[in-house]
Parts: sequence; C-alpha cells; structure tokens
Amino acid sequence: MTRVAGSLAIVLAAGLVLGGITHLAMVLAMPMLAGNTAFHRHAAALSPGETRLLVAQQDGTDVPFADPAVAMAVCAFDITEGPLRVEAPMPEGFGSLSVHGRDGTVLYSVTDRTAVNGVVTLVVMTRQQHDEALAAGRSDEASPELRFVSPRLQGLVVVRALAPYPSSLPEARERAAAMECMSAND
Amino acid sequence: MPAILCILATFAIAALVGVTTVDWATSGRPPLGALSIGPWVTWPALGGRDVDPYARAITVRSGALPLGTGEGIEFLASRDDAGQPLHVSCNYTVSGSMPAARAWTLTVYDPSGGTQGERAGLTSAEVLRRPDGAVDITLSRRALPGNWLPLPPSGRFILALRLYDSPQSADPAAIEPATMPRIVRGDCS
Repeated sequence: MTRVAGSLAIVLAAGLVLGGITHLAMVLAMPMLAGNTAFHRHAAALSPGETRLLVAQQDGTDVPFADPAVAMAVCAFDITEGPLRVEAPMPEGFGSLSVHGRDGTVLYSVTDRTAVNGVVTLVVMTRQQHDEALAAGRSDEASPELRFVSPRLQGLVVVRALAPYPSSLPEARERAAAMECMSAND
Repeated sequence: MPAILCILATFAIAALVGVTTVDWATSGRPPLGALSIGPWVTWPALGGRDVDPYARAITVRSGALPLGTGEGIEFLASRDDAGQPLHVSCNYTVSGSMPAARAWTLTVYDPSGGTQGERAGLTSAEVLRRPDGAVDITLSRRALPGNWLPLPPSGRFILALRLYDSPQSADPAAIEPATMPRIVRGDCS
C-alpha cells in the first residue's frame, strides 16, 4: 500500500515539474505557436515578398482594444533582400508610426513631430544595410529620412491617424491609407 | 503500479498542468510589470522592446498592436475609484484634469476589447470643459446632456484612456496621480 502511495507521489511530483517545464517552454515558444498574431492576420493578406498597404478596419474586431477615433493602416515588410522605405503622410491632428516585430511587439515608434513637410519618411534596414548605405555615402545630411536599424528581418509597419472629431474620421482613414511601403533599392 | 502506467500518468499530468497554466497566464492582461495610478493600469514595457515573455505571449495571442512608447500611453481601468468593478447597470462620472498630452481619447470597451455602436469614445478635441479646464464625462446606458458616453447593453466594461504624444510616455510612473481622472460611481439600476 505504501509502495503504491509512494509511486503515486513520485508520479505527481514528476508530473508537476514536467508541467512547469512545459509551461515555460510554451510561453517562450508562443511567438512561433500562435496562429492569430497581428502579423499572421495582416501579412496573410499581402502577397509574399511584396509590401503592399492594407487598411485596418475600425469595426473593433480586427485589432482588439483599437481606438475607434484612430485610423490605422499597416504594411508588412521583409528586409532580407533590401531595406524598406516608408513614406507616411501625417494628418492635421495627431499621427504616429510604429514598427512591430512578427510577434507584435513594438520595435520603434515616432510621432508626426518627426515629419518633414507633413510626411514621415522611415527607412527600416539591417545593421549591414545601414553600414553599406553609410559606406556608399548616401547619408545625405539634408535627407529628411529617419533610419531605423531593425533587430528583426520581418514585421509590420503601422501608421495611426487620430480623428479629433467623428466627422474627420474619413479624412484620417484616407491619410493613413496613403502610407507607402516600398523597397529602398529602387 | 507498472512502470509504463507511471510514465504515462506523469506525462498526462505534465500536459494538463502545462497547457492550463499557459492558457491562464497568457489570456487577459500581462501578469508582470503593471503600473497602477488609482484605478488606471498601464504596462509601460508593452510599448518597447524590453517586453517580458508573458507580455509578449499575450500580445501574440491576442493579435494586438500595442501603442509604442514614442507614440503615447494607454491606461485601462476595469474598476472605479472605490475598487468596485465597472458594470453597465450603474452610471459613472469620469472627471478631472488630464495628464499632459497633445491629444487624449477615452473609450468604452466590452471585456473582449470590442466597441459597441458609433459612439464608443470621446476625444480631447470634442469634449466640453469646465471653466477651470477640467472635464466631466458621464457614462450611462441612458442618453444624458453634456459629455456622455453610452455603455454596452450588458455585463462589465473596460475604460481606456490613451494619451497621445505625452511627455510622460517615457516614464509613466512620474505622472502626478492627481492629474489622472477619477472614476466615481453614481446611481445603479
């Protein structure tokens, strides 16, 4: 009887320890496991290898806890082949731009204070592409572009345009949808 | 007990414990790194790269696109100032001056993060102010004069206060608690 109880205790203890290891492994692997990430949702609608604009809907279902007063537009990037150049016109009120990794975490974010003539120009590049651009002497001092050295090769660029009044929402959506994501090599 | 049975039971317990605790820990709000100012809660690490594995897992699972630190701060409240859960059967007043920001929005969500109807939020531009610059916003299922936000038909709800282009987004802990709006419960039906 005591032997059965003893082996039961061992089974329980071993199960709990293994369960704990499973827990930690699953939490750490969640970016690979989850199929409902922002990247999957938005990049799935984009053709592979190409960055194309996708307008986020404001019906409250696409992105949970999205601000209904803010128009969002998103494009996916993959900078393995070359840097990404984003040109995002900013709205009258408040606008911002953020770079997210595949897992949705924020890598970089700026507001429209960095805009030149109402347009935020952001180049997302790898460390090597950045060094090559510097060596090629393309770092024009007067260039209004922001350079972001991304730690990830793939991700999303999100533009937000705040509509101060409900009547200005169509304009904010139009402004957000006007973001252009293109290969910087062209 | 036969050894094979022991091993199978061990793996069954491990799988059950692992999966249920992961599901519990990665649905809802990040368990670590919360900053509370009165009833308002924010997770400063969500807006940057230094995000812990649990917060990352939650972001990934929900498909959310968090607001970056460079863009602003997002506060959520699911309780009033007295610590009672926010419920649509009561009226609430959100009042006070707001922390410094170029623009702010106050939005009512159902617990899953969806909004109801055309008018789920108010922005700093459209709100009516008192002579001293402070605001009073009434939350109720019935239409009321002044700054009114309708509540969803049933259940609990969540309030979100977003401060866009706030000088304090880099260090939300430095926000003066007195500048955050108070959530006071009115009469309940």
